[in-house]
Amino acid sequence: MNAIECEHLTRAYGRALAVNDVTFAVPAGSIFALLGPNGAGKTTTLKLLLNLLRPTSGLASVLGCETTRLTKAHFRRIGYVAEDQIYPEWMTVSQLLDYYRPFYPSWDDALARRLTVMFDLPEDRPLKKLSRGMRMKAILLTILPFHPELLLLDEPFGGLDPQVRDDFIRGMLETVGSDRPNTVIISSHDIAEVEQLADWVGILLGGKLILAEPMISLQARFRRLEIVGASVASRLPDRLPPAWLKVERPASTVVQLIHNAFTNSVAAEAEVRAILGEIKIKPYPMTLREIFLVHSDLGRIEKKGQRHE
Amino acid sequence: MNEAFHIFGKDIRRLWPIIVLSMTIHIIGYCIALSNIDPTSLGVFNSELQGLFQMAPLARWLIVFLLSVWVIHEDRAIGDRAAWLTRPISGGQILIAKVAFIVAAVSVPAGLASVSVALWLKAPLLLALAAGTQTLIVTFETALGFAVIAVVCSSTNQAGLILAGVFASIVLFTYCLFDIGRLKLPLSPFAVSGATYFLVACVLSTAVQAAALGHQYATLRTIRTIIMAAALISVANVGIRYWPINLWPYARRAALAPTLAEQLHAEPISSLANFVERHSTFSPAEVTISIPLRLGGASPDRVFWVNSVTSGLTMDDGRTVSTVTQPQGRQPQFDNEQGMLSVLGFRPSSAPITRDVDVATVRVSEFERIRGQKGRLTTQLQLIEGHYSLISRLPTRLGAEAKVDGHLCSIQAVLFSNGHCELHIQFVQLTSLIVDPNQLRAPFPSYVLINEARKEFSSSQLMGRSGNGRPGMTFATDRMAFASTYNLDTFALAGKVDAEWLSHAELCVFRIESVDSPTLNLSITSDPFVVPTKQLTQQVIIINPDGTKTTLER
Repeated sequence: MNAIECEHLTRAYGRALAVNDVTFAVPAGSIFALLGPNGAGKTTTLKLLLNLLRPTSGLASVLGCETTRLTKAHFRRIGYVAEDQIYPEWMTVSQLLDYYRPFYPSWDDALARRLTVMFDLPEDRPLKKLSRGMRMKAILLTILPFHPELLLLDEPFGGLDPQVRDDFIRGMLETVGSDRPNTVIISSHDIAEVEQLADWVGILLGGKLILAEPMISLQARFRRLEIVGASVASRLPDRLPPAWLKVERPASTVVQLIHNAFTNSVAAEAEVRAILGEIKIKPYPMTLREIFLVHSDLGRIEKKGQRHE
Repeated sequence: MNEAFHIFGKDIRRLWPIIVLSMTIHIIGYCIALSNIDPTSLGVFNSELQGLFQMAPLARWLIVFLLSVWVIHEDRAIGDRAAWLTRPISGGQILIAKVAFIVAAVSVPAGLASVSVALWLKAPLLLALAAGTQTLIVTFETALGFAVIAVVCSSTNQAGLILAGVFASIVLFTYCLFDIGRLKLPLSPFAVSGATYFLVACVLSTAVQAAALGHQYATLRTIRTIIMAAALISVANVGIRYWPINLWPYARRAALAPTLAEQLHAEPISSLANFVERHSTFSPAEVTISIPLRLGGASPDRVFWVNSVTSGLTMDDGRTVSTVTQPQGRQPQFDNEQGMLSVLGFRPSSAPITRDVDVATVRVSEFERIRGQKGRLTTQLQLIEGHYSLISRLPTRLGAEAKVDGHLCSIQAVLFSNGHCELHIQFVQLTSLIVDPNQLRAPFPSYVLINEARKEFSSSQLMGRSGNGRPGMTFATDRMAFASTYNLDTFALAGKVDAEWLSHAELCVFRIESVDSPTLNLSITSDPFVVPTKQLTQQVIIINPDGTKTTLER
C-alpha cells in the first residue's frame, strides 16, 4: 500500500510551473528522500501533499485520502516539520507541548519526556529565544509523541550542527517503525545525510520529477564507466543511446561514461562494446551525491539549450 | 468545543497584559471624561488638555483594534505557513475561540465599565444594564470588524493601513455617490423603532462579519473573502435601511398622548422666502429656499423634528422643480423655550412656534433659469414629535452637581463677561437604545434659568460645546450664555442676568424625548412669490472698543 500517490500533479504561479506534471508513489513504511536544488519544487510538492496549496491540475492522495479532502482525523496521523512555519514563539517548550497534547488522542507522554531529555531542550525557554537547531528539535518534539504515520520534513538539516543533526535523526528514528509502518518524506539538498536514512529517492529538477525509485535500485542502476581503448573518443556516436547519460573525454584513449541501466551489467557492457568496439571497461559504483549532480548538470545544460533555442 | 476552549485559553495566556491594559484604559477614559475639571483654571494648557480629553475615546478604540488584530494573528488565516494548518485544528474551532475572546476579553470589560459608571450616575439597574449591554454590543461589533480586517492581513501594520484605506474608500465612495453623483436613496416605507434598527443592524453586521471570518478560516482564500465581505456588507446595509418589522417597541417612561395630525397645522407667515446660495469646495453650488412657517395646534411642551420635506416649485411659465430633502442635525427644528417652562408648571404663551424651514434645494444653474419669475411652492412636511422632560434643577453656583437617573449635570464655571453670564456645564447621560432609544435623536440637553423669587426666567444661547460620545454614554461640556431676563407671566423683557439675580436662580436641565406617535404629514402651499433677480448683500457693522466702526459685507 502506498502512503502517498501523486498523479500528474502540477502547480503553477502565473506562467511559472513550480511543480510540473509530477507522478510518483511512496510506499508505506519507507523513508523517501526528495532531492533537488533550490527552487526545484520540493517545498511546493510537500505543501501540495498537505493541502496547504491547491494543485493547478492533477491529483495527490495522502494516507488514502485525496489531499483537498484532508480532515482533522488525517492530520492526527500526519506530522510536518518546516523551518518557516509560524509557531506561537512566545510559548516555552513545555507550554508548546501542553498546547498541542490535547489535539492528539494518541499522544505518548512517556515518549515526549524521553525525547525532551534526549534533545536536551530547556523546557522553560520561549521558542523565540531558542537557536535554529533547538527550535527545529522543539517542533519535532511536538510531532513525534503522537506517532505520526506520515512524517514530512522540509529541509530539516539545513544549518544544523552535526550534534543537533544527530539528535534530530535519532529522535526521528526512535518512533519510525516502532509499532506501525511509519512513512517519512525528507526534502533536502543535504544528500550525504539522507543517503544514510532513505530507502527511496526522488529527484526534482525545475519542477519536474526526474526519477523516483528505491535507493537499492538506483545504486544498482547507475555506474560511472571508465572506458579505455585506442582512439575510443573518436568512436563515440553522434547520438548517444538513452542509457548513456553523460560522456566525458579526458583523453583520446579514455572515455568516462555515466550509465543509468547497469542493473544487468553483462548486457550493459555488451551494449557498450557493440558501439565502441574493442575496449576495456572499468565500472565504478556511484554515490547518491554523484547521481544527483549528474542530473543537476544535465538539467542545467538542458535549460541553457532551451534558452538558446 | 473543548479544543476551541483550549485555543481560547492559549490566547488569554498570551494577551492578558493587554487585556488588563484595555480595562485600565476603559476605566481611565471614563474617569477623565467624568472628572470635574474647570476649563477656566487650566490657563494656557486649556486647549491642549481639551484636545487630550477629546482624544481619550480614541485610545480605547486603539486598544480594541490592537487586541482584535493580535488575537487573530495568533492563529493567522493567511498564507500557508501557520502551524495550525498542519495540525488537527479546524478553522471552525479557531473561529469559535476568537469570537469567544472578543466577547470575553474585549467586549465584556467595556460593558462592565459602562455598567459601573451608570450605577455611579445613580441610573436604575435596568437602565445601567441596558447601557452596559449596548456598550458591549457596539464594542463587539467594532472588534469583530477589526478582526475581519486582521484575518485578511499578515501584520498589524498592514491591518492598520487597510483600516485607513477602508475608511478612506468609504468616505470617497459616499462622497462620489451622494455628493457629486447626487444620488438620493429612497426613504424606507417602514417606520421601525430605534431599538429595532439597532438590533437589526447588530444582527446583520454580526452575520456578515462571522461569514467573512468563517470563510477565510475555512478556505484561506483571501481575495474571495474580501469580495464576499464587500457584497454581503452592501446587502446587509440595504436590509438594515429597509427593515420592515418592528421587533422592539419603545419602552417609554411616560405615556404621552401623541398630537393628532388633524389638530396640527402649519402655514407660511407671508410670501417671504429666503434664497441662500451655498458654496462648498468640492460639490456644485446650491441655492436653498427657506420659508418662515408657523406651526400651531400642538401641546406647549412639544417639539418637532422635520424628517423630510418634499417640495414642488411651480413657476408661471409651467416649469416645475421638485426636490426631496432630509434636514440634518439632531436639534428639533420646531423647538420652544416656552415648552420647557410649561413642563415646570408655568403658563405658557399660546403663540404658535415660528421657524424658518429649508423647503427646497436647487442647483445654481437651475436657479438662474427661474430668476425673476413668479412661482408657487407646494410642500409636504413629515414631522416627528418630541417633548421636553426635566432632568434636574440645580442652584447656579460653582460646583453644583446633580446625579439622577443616569444623568450627571454639574456647573464647572460661572463667568460674567461682555454683559452676559456664561455657565460652563458638564453633562453626562446614558444613551441606551435598548431601553430608551430617544437619546439617539437628541443626545444633548436644553437649559433655562428660573428665578422664582422674581418670577423671571432667562433663556440660553449656546456659545460652544465640546463633547464626545461613546457606546452607551454621551459626554458634553456646554458653554451657555444667559443675557436678558423675562417675566414668567407676561414674557416681557425684565432685565439682565447679574450676580444678584443668579444667586436666587436655578438651572433647569431638560432633555427631549420622542413621543411614540406616527409621523405627522402636513401640506403647505405658499403664496405666490417672485424669485429675486438681485443678489442681496448683508452688512455687518462692528463697533470697536475705541468707538470706531468696521463694516463687513457678505
